[in-house]
Amino acid sequence: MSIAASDGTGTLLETRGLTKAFRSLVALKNHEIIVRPREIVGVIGPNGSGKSTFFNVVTGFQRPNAGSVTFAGEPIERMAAADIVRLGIARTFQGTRLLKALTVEENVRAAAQLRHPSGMFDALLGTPRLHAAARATDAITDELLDLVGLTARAGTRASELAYGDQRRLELIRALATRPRLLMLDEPAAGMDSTETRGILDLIRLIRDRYGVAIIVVEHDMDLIMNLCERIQVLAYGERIFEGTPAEVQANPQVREVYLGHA
Amino acid sequence: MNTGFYIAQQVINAISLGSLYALVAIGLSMVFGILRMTNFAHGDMMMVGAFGTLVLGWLGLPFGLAFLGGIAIGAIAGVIVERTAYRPVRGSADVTLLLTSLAVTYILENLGILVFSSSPRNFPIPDWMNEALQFYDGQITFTQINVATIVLTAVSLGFLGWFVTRTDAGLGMRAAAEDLGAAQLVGLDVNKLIIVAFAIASGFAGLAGILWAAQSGIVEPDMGFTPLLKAFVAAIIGGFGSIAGALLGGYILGALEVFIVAFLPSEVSPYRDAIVFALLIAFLLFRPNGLLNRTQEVKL
Repeated sequence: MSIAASDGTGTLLETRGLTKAFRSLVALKNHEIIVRPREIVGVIGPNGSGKSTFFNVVTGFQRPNAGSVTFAGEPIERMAAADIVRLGIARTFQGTRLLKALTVEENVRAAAQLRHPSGMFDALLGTPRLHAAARATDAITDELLDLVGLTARAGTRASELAYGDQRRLELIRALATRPRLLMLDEPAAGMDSTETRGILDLIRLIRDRYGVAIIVVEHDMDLIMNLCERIQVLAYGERIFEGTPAEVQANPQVREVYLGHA
Repeated sequence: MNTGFYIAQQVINAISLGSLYALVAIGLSMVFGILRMTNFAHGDMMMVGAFGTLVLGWLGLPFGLAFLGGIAIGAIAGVIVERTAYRPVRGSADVTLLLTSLAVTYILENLGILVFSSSPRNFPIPDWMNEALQFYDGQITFTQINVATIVLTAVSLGFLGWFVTRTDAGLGMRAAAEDLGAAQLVGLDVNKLIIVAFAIASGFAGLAGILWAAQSGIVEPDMGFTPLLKAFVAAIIGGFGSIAGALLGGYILGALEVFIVAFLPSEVSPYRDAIVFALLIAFLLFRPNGLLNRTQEVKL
């Protein structure tokens, strides 16, 4: 682990000159952001402003045309998605992407084994590693299911969960990979205000308890303003403003761009 | 002759044959489940396993060790094929994968012919395995090979079932079979999971090949061809991609083949394979997802 990631004040994630174009459409242009450990940063902007592209490029789902992404001191812009997860960035999706035929518990356990692997030979020979890994993934799974109140539904197929529970399951599944940075793509989409309040408390709790940094993309302004310590505003793939919630709300340019579309 | 004993005898034969089909079909289905690819070279792992055992026997290993060694050689061969032939084309069009696996089949079979010649060779097994066990004054008879086939298949399937449902690595394989992308998303090492799938699938095929050779007494380079076709039918019947389906399909097919010969008029017997493949066509037409498969469409 790099010094930057462990001292609590350095830089965890940094993008520089990050550009991604789809044919003639420039989805992300010279993007720059710095995220420090344990920070909760919001990224907002109208539809098509580049938020999802930013997520996809950082998590290895899309390759940038130019620019760099540095995570905990390592360049990751050419890395495969699975390796980026291993390095410590986990994400959720706008629509969930669960393993729907597997149970709630299995979804979390599949992710938890990243830090506690055991293979076929361990199973074949019944090695101590097999048992130690199984105990560790058991413990992580129990703890996280309890965190979001899904313990009673551990054996339910993920596809049979209510929408809100699917979102929570995806959140703890991301957390089960023991990330240092959690990227949440519209965690409150489709939720009512009570549920949104619950998600807000949960995200804060996760940051406090697990010490992860969190980047949130969200259209729900209430959530963003209450949750985030810093907010970056995107428009047409470019960063147009960055500041505290109060500064963002007071900025006339942001009001114009954002409220014009909201 | 007592009808009850006759039926019991046929059931034993059916389980013995079905075990071999199930062993091969499961590997075929497992690989398809993860890679959505029909691995035609799968049958050749039977040949590799059987020849492996033969050669280890020539080198002086006792049969038991040569047997285990054959399974291991089958498993390793499967992993090598995955690494050298399939991984470079992973994610290509279905037809590319299909042609690649056909090419691997030809390469392996011709390699077998080159090294061992195309004529069948004796597959020596210890005398005790050919010993016939007789019950009820010989009304029920089977050999130790039948016993070994049924027991070893049950043990292997028991291990696989435990591995897939009770271990984290097995869970990873189920996750990969359901959604390769989502599996990568949670950091699962997909390359490793695919290697494990090929190792298990090919080890099972190797085991089936050794048992097949032990039952027939011979090994030859194209010995995997017919069992592969049968396993393919079994996998389709059960639901391609489903391990439980392949198991079920294997035993259904074994029973069908044995019972057609045993219980239908003898004029029908020559049409056994025709009936089996007619069943395949019927399933492809009317129930392409097989008996147990949940969602996915079968792609060839």
